[in-house]
Amino acid sequence: MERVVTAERARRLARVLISDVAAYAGDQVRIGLEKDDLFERLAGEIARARTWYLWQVDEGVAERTRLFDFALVDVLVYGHRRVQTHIW
Amino acid sequence: MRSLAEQNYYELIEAPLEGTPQQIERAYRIARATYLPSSAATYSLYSAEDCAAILRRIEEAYAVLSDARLRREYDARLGRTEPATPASVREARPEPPKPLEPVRERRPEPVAAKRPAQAELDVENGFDPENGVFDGEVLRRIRVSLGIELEEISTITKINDQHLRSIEGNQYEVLPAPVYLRGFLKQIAKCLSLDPARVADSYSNRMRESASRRD
Repeated sequence: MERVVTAERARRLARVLISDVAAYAGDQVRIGLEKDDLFERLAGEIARARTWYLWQVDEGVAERTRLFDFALVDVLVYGHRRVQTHIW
Repeated sequence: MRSLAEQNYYELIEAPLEGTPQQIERAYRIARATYLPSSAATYSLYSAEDCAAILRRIEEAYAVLSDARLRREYDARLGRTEPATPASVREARPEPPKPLEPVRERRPEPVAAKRPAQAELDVENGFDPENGVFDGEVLRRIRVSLGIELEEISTITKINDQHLRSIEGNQYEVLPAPVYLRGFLKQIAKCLSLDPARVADSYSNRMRESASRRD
């Protein structure tokens, strides 16, 4: 596969990977938000997604790691902002 | 659990003792990526010095395990009576794409519906399907590489996302009837700019092979 060398493509890849984590996790995202253990609960899946992401995205891409972390929060947390939980 | 320093090379990179050269290579890449300074997976667990030391040991492990002769000697030192099959023999036999690995169940809450298999992303393979086979894992890899979310495929094709997950997860037993499945596969292939007929034929063949193996 062609290596990702632009921030825009890296951002896109991160969002796709994280949205896949959510799609395949089923109820676990909601339960994780309710119990405030989302990132521990999905640690394995997130680590696999991160490994793939870092493998595909060139080290020269600015803020490579932060792009993934932004997607993590944006898709898993903000994307599920309607979940009823004490954390907000 | 033994510390990293006490683990043998196989344990260190989490490779199977009888692993093929491809499995060793893949395990090495994953282990290396895990302990790179940029990896957030371990940044809070190990200091930069620790990571550097582990990375050195991972490189050392790979140098030995990727060399057939060194690996045999190492296996003998580990007390393994039957050294791993020589790399040349294993390399001559292409491996079929690996089935998707289910998510490890570790959660106390019962899940209402059966969870679909989590497609483990293969960091070693790229776009091209191995042996020309389009199975669920390959389709997922292509989709991710193109930057297309599952939800987008569902929106475009009107295929229920549960069906899409089952297709990508090679969950043949819960897939719709073949006539519908073929239509779904063709629609997915179009979204991924693949040859619809080829994808549908390939996936269906793989599904039949799987069914015949079970019988």
